[in-house]
Amino acid sequence: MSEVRLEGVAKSFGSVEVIPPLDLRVEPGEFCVLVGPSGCGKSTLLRLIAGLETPSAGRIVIGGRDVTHADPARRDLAMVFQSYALYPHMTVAQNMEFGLEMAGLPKAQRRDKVAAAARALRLDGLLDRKPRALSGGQRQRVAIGRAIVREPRVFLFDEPLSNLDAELRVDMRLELARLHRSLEATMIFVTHDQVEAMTLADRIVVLRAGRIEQKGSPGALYADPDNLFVAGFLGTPRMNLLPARVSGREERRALVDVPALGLTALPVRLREPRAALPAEVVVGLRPEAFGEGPLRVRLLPAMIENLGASRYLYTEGERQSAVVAELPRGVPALPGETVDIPLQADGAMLFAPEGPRL
Amino acid sequence: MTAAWRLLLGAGIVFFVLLIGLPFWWVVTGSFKVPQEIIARTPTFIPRSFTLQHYDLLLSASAYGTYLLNSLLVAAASTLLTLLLAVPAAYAFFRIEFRGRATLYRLILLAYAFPSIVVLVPLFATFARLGLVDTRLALVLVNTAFALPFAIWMLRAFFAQIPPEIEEAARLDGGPPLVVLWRILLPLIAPGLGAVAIFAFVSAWTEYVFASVLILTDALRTLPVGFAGIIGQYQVNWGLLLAGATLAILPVVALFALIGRWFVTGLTEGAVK
Repeated sequence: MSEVRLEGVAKSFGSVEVIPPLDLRVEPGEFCVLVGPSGCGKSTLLRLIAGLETPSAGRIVIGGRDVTHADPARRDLAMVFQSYALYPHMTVAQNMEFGLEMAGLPKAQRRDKVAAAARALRLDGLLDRKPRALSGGQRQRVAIGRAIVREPRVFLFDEPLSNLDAELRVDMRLELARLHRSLEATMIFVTHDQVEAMTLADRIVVLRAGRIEQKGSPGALYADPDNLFVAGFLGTPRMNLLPARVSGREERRALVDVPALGLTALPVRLREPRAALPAEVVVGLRPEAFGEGPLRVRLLPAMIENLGASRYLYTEGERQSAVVAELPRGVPALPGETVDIPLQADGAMLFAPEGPRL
Repeated sequence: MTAAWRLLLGAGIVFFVLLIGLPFWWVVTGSFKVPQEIIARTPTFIPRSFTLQHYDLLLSASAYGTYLLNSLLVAAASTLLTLLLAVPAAYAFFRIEFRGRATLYRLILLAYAFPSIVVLVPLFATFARLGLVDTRLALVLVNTAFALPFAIWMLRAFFAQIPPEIEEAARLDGGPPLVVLWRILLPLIAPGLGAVAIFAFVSAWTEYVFASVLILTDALRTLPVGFAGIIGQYQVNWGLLLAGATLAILPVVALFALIGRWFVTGLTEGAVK
């Protein structure tokens, strides 16, 4: 277990600044997920921590030791790559043993550690196989095994689940969560998949264009996003972000008209009660806000998505302007027929059109 | 694939096999024929006689054995030296970023812009000053120098095919650069090493111009030069010629058999994805 601290770390490739100076502290034993759209710099950040890239500025401290310019091997960390990066000419056992051999461990001890890791990852019968004779899920487990045999204090994962099919991905997610509990190591996990982030993380760091948009527990980020980007990024289906007009304010709330829902003077709680309000705002409403509540809205479904446990209604329009609503159980709905559904707007949020939460 | 297409492909393969194989058949079978049959007015495709007299004469009455040994020594040493120098050079060109890398990389191929005959005289003068004329080492150096640019060029392409994460994983596993190169990267470019080895060996094996000028003593001559001497001495002894040619093919065939299995495709299969 080690703390990982980034102090003013920046990275440029030539004249392109990928990561502007950034501070981040990952607590010892924390499962920290870096999430963001592709190209947001999350993989670069991970590679900086791993030592595969050198920062253009700033300091990287792992376990109290400045490792900014230390060799990757001297950082007491292990990394699992998106592509697994197994040594194709070596058997599973040799793959897992290589790091231990480099660390100078005697043969007998290496054998024991590999056997233990193989048992934990259900790779027992596969130790003599070459990677090409393994399935995708098995290769993934070998890659994880190669990381855990070395008992590092920090694990880095670079989108390790993205090459797996959906079912296997859920399995591996659970396996990783279990592994984190049993190893009690610090884990930093990069993904663009917000479901992985929500389910695995102790803390999520949302990145955009190399900047931290917000960090916090999955629950906090979901319930209380700082800006439009985070609000729109976490949660499936995505939060409804509807244009609205401020018509008044009362105490800690703003009153807004939302034409897309046919609502007038909808009270929305403000974060900063005394903040100045622009005339045009954006109202954020999660799809699950629909279904029960004191308000009623009439929506014309263009499409109904039935997931079994829940159903979602989509109105006509672009993805940005269409309304997505979770349909309450027992309410019949067909595309093209207007439905009248209840709405609980207590959780609604207000954003300035440029992004920040109001 | 349609039947007609298959037939066409099959015919194509047969054509090329015959085109390449027939001269070899002619040489090898001819070396076992008695002299009368070799020069018979109607050539025989399948030999009617069998004799080892040409081989006997070749190995007893000429210095063929010495030439063969010289050639083996020179070609093997050239191959080894080429690999020994090309691997680190190619790896450096691939891995290390330095000023002028791209230019230098293109420049090394310039070595092939000059016909060897052009550099022959200056090279002879240089070697004379270094006291290397009339040594097998001179041939090894020349052969290596000419094989290197292509070898570097080729190996770099093989290095570039290895997914970078494999090397990064090995670095994170604590492997020092030379260990990573030896244990992880070289096994993955085995087909490239094999190709380079064969290229270096064959070009040294068949090299004539430098071997004929730089070597003065008969006991140091390599096969192509020494063999040329055998043929021309009094008259053309066809049987001797064919036996010599047959023996000269053997080491190359053996090398192909040995290295051929390195040419397995999909060596990196299973590494990523």
